Amino acid sequence: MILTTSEKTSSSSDKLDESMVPAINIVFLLLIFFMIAGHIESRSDQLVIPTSSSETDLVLQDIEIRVMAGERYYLNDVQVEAKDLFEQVRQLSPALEVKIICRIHKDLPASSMDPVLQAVKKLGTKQLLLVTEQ
Amino acid sequence: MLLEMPKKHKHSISITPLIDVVFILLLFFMLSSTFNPAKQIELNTAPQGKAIKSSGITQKILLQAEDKVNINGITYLWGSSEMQSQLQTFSTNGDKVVLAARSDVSVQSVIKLIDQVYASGVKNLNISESVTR
Repeated sequence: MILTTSEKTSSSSDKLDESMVPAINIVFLLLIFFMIAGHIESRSDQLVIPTSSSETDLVLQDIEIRVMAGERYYLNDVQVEAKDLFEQVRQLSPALEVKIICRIHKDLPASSMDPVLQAVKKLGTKQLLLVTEQ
Repeated sequence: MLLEMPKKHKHSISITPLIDVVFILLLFFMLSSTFNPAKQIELNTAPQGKAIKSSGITQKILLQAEDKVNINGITYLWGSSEMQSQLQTFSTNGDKVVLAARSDVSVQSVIKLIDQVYASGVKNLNISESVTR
């Protein structure tokens, strides 16, 4: 009995595909690594946060104030006037025990922190979390 | 007997477009992700700061310039041993420290000083508004 099967003719493209398999495995592993281990953040030269040796990881809160270069104030991504900061924060959260996060551009003068400090004090909020990086 | 198997039409999917997409995704994640997660510095805001046991004595630190720190009226060079020993004393005594900075000093310098004060062991640190000349 003779069994004839159709001849396996592997084209050059098939061979190429097969030889690529280990490379794809590595690329997939790298992709998974970057997806899991990396953090995606929007970076802008308008907001370069200061460096510190703090080891405490940032715990996100409901209220975040950003002070960008040019002393532009943002409350939860909405631009606000410095003088309105207290009123806007109070409307967002009347509770006193709230913690407020502040991201501030490192090259700004210390006076640019004043509207934030004043708002926090007026609110009676006890803690301000300054965001830094190592 | 001659048996001929029916020809299988192999519909193989080319993996090349898949690799293209995976490479683009890989490039995206490599370029956009950071491995330096953000850190936080907790600050009490004077005068209603978080209740921490303190000696009842309040020490005042003023950051005068990038390299000059005034502690209770005496000016020290940044990072000098005298300044370090003063901070150590506050830490040992459990004093409350209120920190302010001149309005023209950079935020980075303020953070650097806060870092140094915390590193010396001071627990009860409050920050107040900037001081104009």
